[in-house]
Amino acid sequence: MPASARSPRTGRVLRLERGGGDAAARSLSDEELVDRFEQGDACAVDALYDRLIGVVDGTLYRILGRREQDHADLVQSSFEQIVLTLTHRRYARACGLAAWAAAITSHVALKALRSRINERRVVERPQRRDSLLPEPVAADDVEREVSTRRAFEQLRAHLADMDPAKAVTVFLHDGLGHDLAEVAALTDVSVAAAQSRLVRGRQELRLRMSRPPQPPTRERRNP
Amino acid sequence: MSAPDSRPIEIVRALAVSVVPVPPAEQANAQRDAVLARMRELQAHAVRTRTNRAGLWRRVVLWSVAAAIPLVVAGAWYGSRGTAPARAPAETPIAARVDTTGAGAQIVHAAAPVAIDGHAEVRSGDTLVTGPNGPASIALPSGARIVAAPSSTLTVHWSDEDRHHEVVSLSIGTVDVDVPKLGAAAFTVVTPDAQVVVHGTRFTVRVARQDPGTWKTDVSVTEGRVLVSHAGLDDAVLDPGGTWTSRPESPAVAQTSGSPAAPAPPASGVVASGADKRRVPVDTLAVENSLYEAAIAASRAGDDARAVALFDRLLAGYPDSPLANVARRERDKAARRLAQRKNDSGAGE
Repeated sequence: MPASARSPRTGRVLRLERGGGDAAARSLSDEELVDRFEQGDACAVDALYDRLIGVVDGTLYRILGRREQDHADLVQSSFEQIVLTLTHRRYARACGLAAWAAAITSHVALKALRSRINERRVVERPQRRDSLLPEPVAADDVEREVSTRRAFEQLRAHLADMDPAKAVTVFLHDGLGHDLAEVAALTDVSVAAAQSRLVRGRQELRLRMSRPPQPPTRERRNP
Repeated sequence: MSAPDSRPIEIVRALAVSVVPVPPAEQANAQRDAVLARMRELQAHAVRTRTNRAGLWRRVVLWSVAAAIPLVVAGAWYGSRGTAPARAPAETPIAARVDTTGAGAQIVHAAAPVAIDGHAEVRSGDTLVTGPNGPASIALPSGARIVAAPSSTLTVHWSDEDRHHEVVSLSIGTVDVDVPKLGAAAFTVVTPDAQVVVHGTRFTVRVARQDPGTWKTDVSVTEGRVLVSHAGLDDAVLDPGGTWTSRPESPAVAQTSGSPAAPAPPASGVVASGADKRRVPVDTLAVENSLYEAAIAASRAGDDARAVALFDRLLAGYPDSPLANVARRERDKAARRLAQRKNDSGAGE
């Protein structure tokens, strides 16, 4: 029976779901889990999914802003990328598995966000019903919440327009709190290159966000 | 959050920690099943690929080992064949193969002696020194076989003009030579004071030191025919049973002893049969021609003294030669020129 609780911030019901796979596999460390996965242990697949689904789903949601129709595809695409990097031994185990998954998912999400923005310039896509539902917000804080959401939307648009390497570096460092060494390991560059990307990405983001918002120039047309 | 445009980093941070609503359970379960199925598929494919690759490597290694085993066995067999042959450097081809018995034999290559025991390879220009107790058997590429007696020193090489002309320089000692029919090729044994040229025969050459700087060469023929040259001239043609011995005097003495007034005795060796000790100049035409040609060449070169000496040797050794009359006339001309030159030089002084 899943346990449930209510979020103290949003008041939304949070639910703990029982994950599949072996309980012993779920208690493994990252390295042991990767070893068992590489050896072909089927239980390791379940444990890997349960360990990373929160990171993958959360990163996708935060960068894209909502769960749209292709959300499940993006989750699957992110896990495919993670599995491929593990089978090709590109995961050097220099960072945590969750951080590695977040970096990969950030790439997937920003790429989807860019294509989504480009697509919406010419095609108006219907949004999922759940994505249109307003999150529960306290009545006395509506104005602040609207302002924050607008800032988030603006930030997402800027991140999608930026160079992907810089956008991911800024998100990993300033958003997820990884230090430069971790960012360098996650993006497979030197620390100096990661620092350069971070500085340039911050400058570009600051410059973009200091400009007055541009009126949308959409060419709408029904699919 | 206030003034979000001025704090982009804070916005990024706020975005990263923003609350994520939980998806509906049915949707999450369906997504889980789909993603797990795909992950298992990818995992199985990766394991299969890795297994196949490992199997391929295993097969490659096994085949390599199987191919290497005969080579290793052959190398071990080659290395275990008794004493490893003393090999000369590979810059020159092999001139002969040597089998020795007894100790003390050695090959001198590039002034560096290498002791050999048993089988060895000799390259052109190498010197073979047999031990005091053991003879050596030498096989040459032409098929000629030489048995060098103990304490012999000989060098095997090819003629500068003809790689098929094998030359054995015998410094001292005795060699028994068995030369097959060589066709156009030739085989020569060179001693300090003689040269034996053969075309298919069996013979023995012995070199002994008489006094310091003086050598004596003995040649005896068992089969075939050999031509013996002495002091640069073809001296004798030996048939089976024939023997030849050089004079104990050095060739230089013989060559410089001739004068117009007192013709020097012929510097050729003594030819005798092995049985009745008779002189057996069986076929001297080649020697006569050689003497005549050498004399004419000396005359044309202005060396009248040598020309006179050579003509005297021809006339003294072969007075019945068909070249005798011509040789006498040419000798007289050379002698007159020589006397005239002496008179001119005496008048000038």
